[in-house]
Amino acid sequence: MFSHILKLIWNRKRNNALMITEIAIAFIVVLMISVLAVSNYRNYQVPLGYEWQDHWQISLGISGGWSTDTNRETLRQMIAALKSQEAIDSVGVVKEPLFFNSVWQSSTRSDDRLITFNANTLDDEAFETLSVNFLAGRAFDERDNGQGYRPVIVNQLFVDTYFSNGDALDKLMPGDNANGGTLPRKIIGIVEEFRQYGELAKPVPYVISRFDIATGHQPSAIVIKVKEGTDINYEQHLSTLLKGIAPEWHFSFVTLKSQRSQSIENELTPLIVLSIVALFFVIMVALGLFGVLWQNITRRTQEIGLRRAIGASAMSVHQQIIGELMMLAAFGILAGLVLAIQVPLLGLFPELDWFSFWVSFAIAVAVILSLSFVCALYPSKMATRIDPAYALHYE
Amino acid sequence: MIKLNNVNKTYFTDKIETIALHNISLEVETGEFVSIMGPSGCGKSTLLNIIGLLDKPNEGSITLEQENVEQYKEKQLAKIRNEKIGFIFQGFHLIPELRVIDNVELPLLYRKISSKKRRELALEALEKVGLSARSHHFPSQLSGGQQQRVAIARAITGKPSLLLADEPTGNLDSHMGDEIMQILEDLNKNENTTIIMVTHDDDEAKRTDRLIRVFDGQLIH
Amino acid sequence: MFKNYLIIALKVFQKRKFFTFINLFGIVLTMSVLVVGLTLLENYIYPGHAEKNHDNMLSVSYLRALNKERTQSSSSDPGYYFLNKYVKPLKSADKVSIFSSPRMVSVYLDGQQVKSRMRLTDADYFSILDFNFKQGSAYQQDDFEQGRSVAVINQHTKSLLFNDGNAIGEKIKFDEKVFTVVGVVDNVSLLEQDAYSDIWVPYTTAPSSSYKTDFMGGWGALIYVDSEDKRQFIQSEYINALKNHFEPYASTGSDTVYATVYSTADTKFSRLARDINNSRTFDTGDDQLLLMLGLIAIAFMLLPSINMINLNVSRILERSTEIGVRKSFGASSGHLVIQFLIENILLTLIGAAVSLIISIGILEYIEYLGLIPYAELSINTSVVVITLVLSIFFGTLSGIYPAYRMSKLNPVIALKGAA
Repeated sequence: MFSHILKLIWNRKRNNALMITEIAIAFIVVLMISVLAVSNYRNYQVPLGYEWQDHWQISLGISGGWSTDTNRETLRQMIAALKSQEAIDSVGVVKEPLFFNSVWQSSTRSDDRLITFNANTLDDEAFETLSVNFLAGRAFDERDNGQGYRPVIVNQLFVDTYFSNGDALDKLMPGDNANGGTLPRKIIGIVEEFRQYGELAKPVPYVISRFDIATGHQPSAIVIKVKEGTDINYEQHLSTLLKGIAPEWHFSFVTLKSQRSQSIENELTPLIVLSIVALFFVIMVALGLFGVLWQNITRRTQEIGLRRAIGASAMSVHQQIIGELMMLAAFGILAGLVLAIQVPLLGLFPELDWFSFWVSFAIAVAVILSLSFVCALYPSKMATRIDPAYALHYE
Repeated sequence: MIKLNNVNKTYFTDKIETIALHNISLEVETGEFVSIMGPSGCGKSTLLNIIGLLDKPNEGSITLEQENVEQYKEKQLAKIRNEKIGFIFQGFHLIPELRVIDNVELPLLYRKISSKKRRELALEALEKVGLSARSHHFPSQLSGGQQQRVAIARAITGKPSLLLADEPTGNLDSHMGDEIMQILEDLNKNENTTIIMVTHDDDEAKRTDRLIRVFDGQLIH
Repeated sequence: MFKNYLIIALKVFQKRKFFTFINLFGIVLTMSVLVVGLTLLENYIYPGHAEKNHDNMLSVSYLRALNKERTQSSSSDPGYYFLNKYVKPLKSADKVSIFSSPRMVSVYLDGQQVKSRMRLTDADYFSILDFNFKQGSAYQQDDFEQGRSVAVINQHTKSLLFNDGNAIGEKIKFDEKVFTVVGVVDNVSLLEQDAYSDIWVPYTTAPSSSYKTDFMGGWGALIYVDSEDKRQFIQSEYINALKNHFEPYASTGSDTVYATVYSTADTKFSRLARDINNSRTFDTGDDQLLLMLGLIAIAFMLLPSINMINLNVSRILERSTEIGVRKSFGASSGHLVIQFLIENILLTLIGAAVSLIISIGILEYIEYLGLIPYAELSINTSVVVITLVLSIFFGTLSGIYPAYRMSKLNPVIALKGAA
């Protein structure tokens, strides 16, 4: 049966090549969408590492350049003023804002190994403000003052990526000249995660340095944790408060809740649009395959009639028609795979890992095969209804 | 008018080779009405297709009105078919989507003729087969005999000098067949059109100027 | 001849409705996506509202600066200092406006709060851009120079704050400062990047003039010229000024000294090209973008084309009698290729027409969802023309191979097949 179908396919290779090409392209389209869906889903499964439910983020528009001492003093006053508010539980400062695609990448050489990571700077209290989940070690505090190292906190992924034995706490890394001199960096804490770019971004090795008002780089936001039930009208109060301290700065307020849903929406909208287009493409391909099969059955009435006449059962004709398309689909998938696998092989899309690729591959294979099966169902049924006597008389 | 010289035609299918025509030499004069007879599969349709330049012989030459078409390209052959040859088939082969008049016009589409002139010529041809009243019907609305008359109109609308008819009455009853034969005879006499007709009917063959018998790809004299 | 082909084509479409439907489905899907994409692109490159004089405008929106050793570089939108020093003095420019990028502010009015985008501008901004004032007018040079707290707001903000009433003379408060509304303008879409905002106020009202020292970030400029021809001249004048007369700039609070800068005065298209190509030099890569757009369109047509090719190839035998007859009566292969191509192109043209109608719906839905703030997306003549050209291309792409196969059908076999 198997080799018989192969022979049939080979003898009609010119038309079948077209079918295989079509299935291959459709497969790649489905694969592409599944890769996006799978990797987004997997990213979403990874814990965020901090709380956002009762938090606000105040972006700071600092006028006249950060480095002046006045500005540093202004920020100090602001933090104090916010802390004294009844409705505010906790106040933290971040250099790169949360749920924003504001990326700070950095790298260092350690033992002739290039360690690359995304970075941020948080002040001591930010960890408490955001309820960051520590797996080991601790947040920054006075014990880090005046030491012969610069404290850093890393995420577990950083440890997994760069410390083969999993033992990273209290280890030292070289300092970098651009940021805070040549002091070596010491890992004083390991957090589960700190996914600054939101839940749909790919988790990356992440290193957090200590923000120090006296010497730190310009911070972009203050994060506050407010008491439950604090409504948006409180914003006006805070705005007046902060403008009173720094009339020349400008502030924009956003709840982390709305910033988070905005960031999810930004990630998902293009994906949804793509998926809708792909869905229609798949329907189109299904209709096309169905049409071609139908047409082929009409054309092959004689062949099928002959098969019935020499004793093929309705079932075996049924199986043969479906088998033929499934075989073509298998070839198409194979051709599509040969092309698609180049992407992870050549590392064209660094976000894509092999696990996601193979899971998506399995999904795409299932989609294409079941699609082919459904498309072949009706035409094959039609084929079994061919009356051998009539078919042989045809022509 | 037409001259075949040692024409051979062999068909190759997979591993078997079938000899369809073997060393055929044949000459038909202008104005002749020739019939071809022979059992099915003897090669008479192949012979007609070769005369009609639809099929190419493997060997031998064909001369049509002093033109040797042996080396002609597809495009040149198409032009000759268009201008000099008219076909009539057993199965009529009218295009069902087109009205009678549009079917008749078909050969003129491939010439540089204005649409007004085409319409005129097509109506003229329909007049000759007595169907000008049906020019706006669809083929399916006509009887078999009427359809074949339309097919004849289509074959003569381009004023070809040679008509090739492959069992033109094969699908018709004797009464209708007689009508068709009458039209062909009139065309032959009145317009001096050369006609080569494949037939199974002895009576029809007798009404023609000359009968050629084909058996196993060879002419029998 | 043409008419004959059209009749046959339409009859064939009618006769095999299911196949016509499948083919049309693919065509409409493909063309709809292309029409929507084209419309977005068209609305961006040829804006119709405030930026409708785009042919007389150039925009400066990008600045990259490097130190002497080229080891440190920084890029973003330019700062006020830079624009004031290098764009404002351009000799051939008839008008230059400097304005900030929009930023979010919270506007308070009678206990309600509205989040709006706010832009700081000069007075020339309103003479270069062609805002449609519903109420009042723009602030004038005098308002600007005196630093009066006046604001122009858009229709959206007005209806949020003042419902249907008159807004002129009303006070709104943001950044702890009270502004008097002097004008209400029609909403301007995000696609008009230099005009887009909710609120506009003179930058002389800023609490401090520290923006005047910003080299990088937060600002943009528009250059206006009387005639389109002067645009190229300005573009090279600007690049020349940056190449030959740039004075090294020491940024405040860091020891970096910028020695080289890259920036261009862009048309709408070259600005898009820079954004998409991520161009970092004086070359924005317009040709690359054009090539890329073409390739995307073709790649996008590939799957539907193969789908149609497949279907049509499987249907060749349906037409065998017709092909046999036509060949017998003197149609050459060329004639037949043309006939079947015309048939296919007719189908893609019908599909394109349907797509145009469907796209109107899709575009309305995009507006309804607010995916592009304030966008009013309409399909105009040039989109229609490009769509028709694309659909002819699509019809050829998907029709040529089946047409070739049909034309090569052996007439002898074709006629025998249906006897």
